[in-house]
Amino acid sequence: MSLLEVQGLCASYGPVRVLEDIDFAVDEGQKVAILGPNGAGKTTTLRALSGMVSTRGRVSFDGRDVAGRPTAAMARLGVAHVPEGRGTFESLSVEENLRVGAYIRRDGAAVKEDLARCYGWFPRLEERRGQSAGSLSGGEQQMLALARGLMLRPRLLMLDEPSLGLSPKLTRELFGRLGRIADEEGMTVLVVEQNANLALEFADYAYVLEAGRIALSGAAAEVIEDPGVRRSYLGG
Amino acid sequence: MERFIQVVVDGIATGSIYAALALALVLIFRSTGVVNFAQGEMAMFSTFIAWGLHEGGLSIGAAIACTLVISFVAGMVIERVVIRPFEGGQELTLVIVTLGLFILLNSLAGWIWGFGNRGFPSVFGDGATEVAGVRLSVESLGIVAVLLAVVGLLFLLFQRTKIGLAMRAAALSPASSQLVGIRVGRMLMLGWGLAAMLGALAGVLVAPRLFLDVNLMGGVLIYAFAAAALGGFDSPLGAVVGGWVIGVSENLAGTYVDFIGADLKILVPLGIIFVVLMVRPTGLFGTHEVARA
Repeated sequence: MSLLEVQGLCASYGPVRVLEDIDFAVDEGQKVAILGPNGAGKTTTLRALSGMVSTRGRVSFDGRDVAGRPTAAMARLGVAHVPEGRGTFESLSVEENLRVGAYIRRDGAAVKEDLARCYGWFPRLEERRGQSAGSLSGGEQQMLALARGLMLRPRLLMLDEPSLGLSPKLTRELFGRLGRIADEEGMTVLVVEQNANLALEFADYAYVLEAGRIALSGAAAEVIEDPGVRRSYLGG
Repeated sequence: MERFIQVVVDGIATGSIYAALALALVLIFRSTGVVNFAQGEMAMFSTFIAWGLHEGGLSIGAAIACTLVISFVAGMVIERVVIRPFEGGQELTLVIVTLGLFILLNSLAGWIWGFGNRGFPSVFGDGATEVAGVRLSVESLGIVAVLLAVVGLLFLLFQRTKIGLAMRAAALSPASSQLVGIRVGRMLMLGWGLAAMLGALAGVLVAPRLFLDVNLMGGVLIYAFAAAALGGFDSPLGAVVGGWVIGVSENLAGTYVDFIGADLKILVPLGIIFVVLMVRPTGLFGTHEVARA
């Protein structure tokens, strides 16, 4: 059984239907990418999983039916959602942002270790641990957002458009580190991304979302060879 | 010189009372972006409860301790029952709700305890003590000590504890806070509870200097607003410094400037505020968010 199973998920903002009958699954330890053009419903998919929009359909996480649970409850089940725009607490310090990320955890000693591990993965954050998060550059803020997600020790890490506002070089670096961390930790990751090239290099499995429906899915290595995908998202 | 020091210390004591209520206003403003106009009436109501418990036979210290606990719980209940349904709506709506609460509590207190006034004993007594050759009232020194202790505890709460960090996070960004598992509603309840407790403290400290009646906090609330505006509405440190500046300046002006006297002394701090806000619209310690685009 998959860690996350979604069946017939529909979501709407008021009268506007954004997701139509989506099915997908994420296995334990798998890295899954959801690709698609702007407005296809990628962000809404993650928001639906976090209980931030009204939805219909079945969502099961770790064998439990979790459809319609409030946002904070999903985090407490171990779903770390790094939202579009990063969700940084700008006037808190870098270290406070990381500590907030571990808010639901009760294992204080392990939180301290994880803080040290995050600083090991992202030395820039350690250099700036006392600075306010709002004073960081875009790339550093994205590192911080990712590290904040990791501080939850998530069962499932969901990343919304981590490349947003980053240079191609920084984006490559970010995905590189994320891939290494995920492999080291055996982490389950669901990433939504417009930069299909990098996302497909990173992921094991991919879904292509178009106009609120899943147009295509398969192992990342197959999806990257698909002529339609190459034409639409990979520049030929 | 002795007289000058006495006037300054009394001013700091009065200012500390303004600061306690201003801190309550700042706590709620930071987490909800709304000024709680009912803060003074909540404090007045709490003070009546303390008075009732004392009349019922408790020592004044015990009555105040019980009142602080009752106020904390009542503040949380008010947030959950009265404020929460309007949370996330327009700020103006919430402001009107707090004004409604103001009128409700004022009338309710009058209905329960009547509109006459009563004496309220000071927990510090009315003695005086000598510090470095200057005779100072124990009450004034006690009030300042209490405020400093409260500020220290609040600092520890917000800077050194996990729940305090979560409260600050919830105030900064409710949406991001929920994503890390913080139950934002509970943080708001806690904030209202703390604010109600601070207000109660201001009430029981000021009541011995005035008379206890339903309009006990009317004047104090104005000064507390002034203190918060002077210090910056989002700054706890500003609320304290603002309260002291106002307390000391009005006391000095009332004592040393003949034509001002007791009646016009409120104009002095208001004049200072006017000038400060012209130069620094965010108040002395208020901040704009530091952010890099």
